[in-house]
Amino acid sequence: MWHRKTWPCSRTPGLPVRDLAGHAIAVAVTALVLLFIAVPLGAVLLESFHVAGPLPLEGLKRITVEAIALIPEEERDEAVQRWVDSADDRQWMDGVAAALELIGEEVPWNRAANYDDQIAAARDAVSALPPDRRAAFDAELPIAVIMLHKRIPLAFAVRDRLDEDQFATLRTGAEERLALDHYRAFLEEPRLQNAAKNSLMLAGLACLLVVPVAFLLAYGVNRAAVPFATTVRFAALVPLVSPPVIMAFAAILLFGRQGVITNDLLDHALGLIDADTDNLYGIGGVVLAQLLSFTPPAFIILDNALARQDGRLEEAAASQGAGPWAVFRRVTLPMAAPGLVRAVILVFILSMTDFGNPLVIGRDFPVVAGIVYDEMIGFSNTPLSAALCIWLILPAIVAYLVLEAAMGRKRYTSAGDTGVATELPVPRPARLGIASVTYLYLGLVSLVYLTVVVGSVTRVWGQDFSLTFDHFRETSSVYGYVASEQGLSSVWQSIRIAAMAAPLGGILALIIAYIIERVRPPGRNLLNFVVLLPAVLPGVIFGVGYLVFFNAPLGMPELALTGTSAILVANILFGNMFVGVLAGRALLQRYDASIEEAAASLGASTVERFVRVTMPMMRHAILLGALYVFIDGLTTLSAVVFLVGPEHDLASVAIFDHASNAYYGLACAKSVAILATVALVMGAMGLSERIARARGRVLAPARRPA
Amino acid sequence: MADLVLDTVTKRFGPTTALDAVSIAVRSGEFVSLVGASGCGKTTLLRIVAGFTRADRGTVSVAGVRVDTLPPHRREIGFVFQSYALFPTKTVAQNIAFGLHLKRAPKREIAARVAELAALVRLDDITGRYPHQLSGGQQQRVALARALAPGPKLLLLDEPLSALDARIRAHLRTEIRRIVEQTGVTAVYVTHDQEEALSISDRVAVMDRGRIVQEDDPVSLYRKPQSRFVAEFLGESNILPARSDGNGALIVDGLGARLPRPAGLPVAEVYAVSVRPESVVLGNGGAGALAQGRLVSADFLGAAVRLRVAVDGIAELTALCPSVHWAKSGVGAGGPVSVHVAPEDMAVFPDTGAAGA
Ligand SMILES: Nc1ncnc2c1ncn2[C@@H]1O[C@H](COP(=O)(O)OP(=O)(O)OP(=O)(O)O)[C@@H](O)[C@H]1O
Ligand SMILES: [Mg+2]
Repeated sequence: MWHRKTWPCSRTPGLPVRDLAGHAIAVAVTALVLLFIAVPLGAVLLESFHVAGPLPLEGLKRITVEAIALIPEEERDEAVQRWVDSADDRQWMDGVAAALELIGEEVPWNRAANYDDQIAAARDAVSALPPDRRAAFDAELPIAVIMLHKRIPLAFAVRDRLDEDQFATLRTGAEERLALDHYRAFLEEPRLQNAAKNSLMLAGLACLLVVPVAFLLAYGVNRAAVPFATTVRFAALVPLVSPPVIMAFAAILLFGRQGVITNDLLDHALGLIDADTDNLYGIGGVVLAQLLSFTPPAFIILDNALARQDGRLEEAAASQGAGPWAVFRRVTLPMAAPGLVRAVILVFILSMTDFGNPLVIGRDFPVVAGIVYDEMIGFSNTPLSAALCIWLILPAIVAYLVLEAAMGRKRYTSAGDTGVATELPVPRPARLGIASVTYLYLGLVSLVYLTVVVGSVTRVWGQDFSLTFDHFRETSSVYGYVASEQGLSSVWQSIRIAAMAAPLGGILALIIAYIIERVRPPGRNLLNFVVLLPAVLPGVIFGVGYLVFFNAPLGMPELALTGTSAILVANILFGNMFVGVLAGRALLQRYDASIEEAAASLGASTVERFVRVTMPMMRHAILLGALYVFIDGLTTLSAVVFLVGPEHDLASVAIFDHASNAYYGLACAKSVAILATVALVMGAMGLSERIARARGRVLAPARRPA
Repeated sequence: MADLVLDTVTKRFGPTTALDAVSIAVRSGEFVSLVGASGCGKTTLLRIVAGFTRADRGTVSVAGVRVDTLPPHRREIGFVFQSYALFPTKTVAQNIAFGLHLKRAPKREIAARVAELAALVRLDDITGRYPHQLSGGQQQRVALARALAPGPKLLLLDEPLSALDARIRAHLRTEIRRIVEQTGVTAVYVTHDQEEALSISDRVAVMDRGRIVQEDDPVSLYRKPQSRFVAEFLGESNILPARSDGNGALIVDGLGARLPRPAGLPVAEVYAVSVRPESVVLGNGGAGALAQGRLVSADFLGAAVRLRVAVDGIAELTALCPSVHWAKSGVGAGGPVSVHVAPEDMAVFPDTGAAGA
């Protein structure tokens, strides 16, 4: 396994400094990565401080006075008079209030009262003004009326004397500035506060459920406490390649109002519950969907952590007199603590930034990520969304830093026969418990897939269970749903986009790995860091960043990528490239650099060396990197949902739309199509690997003696 | 303190037989070493005694009580791992105190015992450190102290020195011997370094492919190997074919030596005789010479000289001669030499061919 052990490459290959091509490519690639990863992420941060707000009175007055001064002298007074005269009573009243504020008087009436009362009150207030204030007031009033209600005619009157921005500011009376308003909104608006509470509660629940389940799975697999451990490990990972929100809508089909378990079984057949009220919508459903979706990634981390554990430590504890429970509590658990922390943080971030599941199954359970989605899609309110994104990852970052600091003291380097599991048996009751949790979880996952497959050929779930293939067809008009989203065209579109991104991603990843490991330019740490950013930052942020930045890259709308398939390809490619880079680096570290030095001594340039020597050796890494990009391209939702244009619908987005609009048949059909594609591609890759291996084309990795 | 008895312990891993009906008895307070080539089952044997692995068949008794049905934490057997297996999140003191904590010993008692053991292994000044802040040798001592802390009936050590360099190894093995002697605990020590085994053990058991082929005190084992495997595994040896003359004597081919047949020697068609190189004495003729030969080569090794002698009838003999004696002899390569071996320096055993090693 390439990721378990790496053979550190102690020697840096002696590449000549005059190897300019290599360094030039390194610079270009770094620039590319910065542009497509770092800059969009930075744009999110910047955007979150953007406040488009009404100008304060003073500012309004200033631009109004400036604009009036631009009117030709001979027309000016007359125009001003005309605008003031044309103001109706309400507009005049607003002007009075503003003029009073401008001269520093309090507005002596209730601005929220009905207009007639306010107008009367304004008349009284004007007549009650002391004479010395009266002159100042009279001077401000026309300006006040114009700046509040006649700005638009004023703007058009002087349009040719204003630039674009000045005109826009005058017309709208609003301006852009940098401020913390969107962050404050989070603390002040009850709607957001409520959502924040829900998000935190959900993330907490998800952690409480997912991490123990994933840990039990991993523990069972590593300590052979479950039968068929290898199969269990594989099965636990399968949901990683599933389409988005599949868990949520499958849960609805099973446990919803029309769910086969809640409605057909428990309600109609057994009469135990009333499915109309007792169902899984709301937080319960979201938690279930998240449990099923997030257990696999948490499992990966914990499986890795436990597999690395030195079983001798547990044996040492046992020979010291520690029983199975004491061994677990005093050795296994503390040793797994770093992995547990990482799992908790991962699940926390995943849950906090998940909008799909809450939007599909979480009726009346608003969460912050859902609001980000609504604000982006419904209102194009990118600044608020951006600020909310930052809030979303803040708790996780803080938690991470705190835990790192707390655990920093216990950092250690493990040595010895790391990775040899102990043969000490897990006590029978524990084995039973672990096995039941494992098989319950896997049973639920299987049920989900079964439901999706059945759902894809069921006419109307819950009402008409007759067989149909309409959900796969282009032409049928299901419930008058818009034709463009029917059939499998979006699936083909997804495959097309993913198939474009995959080879590019695989090769670019290898180039980057090569640059970091072999060319070793001065900026390689930056390059490495930026490439890994999408691995740790949630997709929502990456999507919002692309939308913000590529709308008008570098302030040039002509370069806009939004709405094109290019932005989708780029997003998928750069968002998932890190897997290929990590795989490539691990492989390069294992291959002896002297193979390339030999090629260099035979006169091969960097580029030739890369193409002729490295690429063939690295076929496996390229394939893995490309496969990951491809699969994620088919299944990702969080980033691309903000980027699809009308002509560039993707299957994952369509599935999400279908599911949120309760067109479960269509969602199931597309999910089945995606799952079939993924299975096909993975099968084909596995086969080609096997054939290549059989032909002996795969070089056995040149291992250095430890 | 307790004795350890293994009776026909067998263990298979799939097709490999790691232990093949092994029986051995270790007396109370004895220091026994297990030696053998890599993969011969030494670790497996220790792990079965400790209870980390279950034997397929056979019994293990400690102090006359069968322990093979007990889980490891109820056996009171200390184990020192090749990789030390120190708890990386605990300090030296906490590592040593681990077993005592589990016994819920009073705090003061624990502190006293930790101090005592730290002094015993000469680590009293670094008890506050973490394992990764220790050298290999220091980690080794901590592992030893930890294993001894709960006062085990039996101490098992699995190649405790193999990860250290030769100089520290030589020093630490005498240390281990001292510490074990001081505590009086029964110890089983695994190594594949024969010199290590011979130098510190009361008794050495040689293993080959899952079986104990010979066990004896170090001197007897070295001087009287009972098989070609043991002779070749422990040190260097000249193996010479021999046969029975039918009159209760053995004829060593080539040397023309006639030995009285040792009592208890099993009947076999062919025998072999092992002669250690240092027992081969060369001279220039004279009485009692067993054979004549020619000197082929002389390699100067410092303290000794390794001489290769071609003898009629046998291919070659290796002799080891203290270099001070060699310097006086003045024989050059190709020169004639006579070969002398005292009969008591020849070990005879049935020859099963060049198996093993
Ligand atoms: N857990 C296991 N699974 C399968 N085979 C094993 C296992 N443990 C040991 N073996 C096999 O049993 C045999 C004996 O192994 P053991 O570890 O006891 O050897 P050893 O004498 O300690 O060797 P070394 O000197 O290399 O440590 C070997 O062939 C080994 O491959
Ligand atoms: Mg071993």
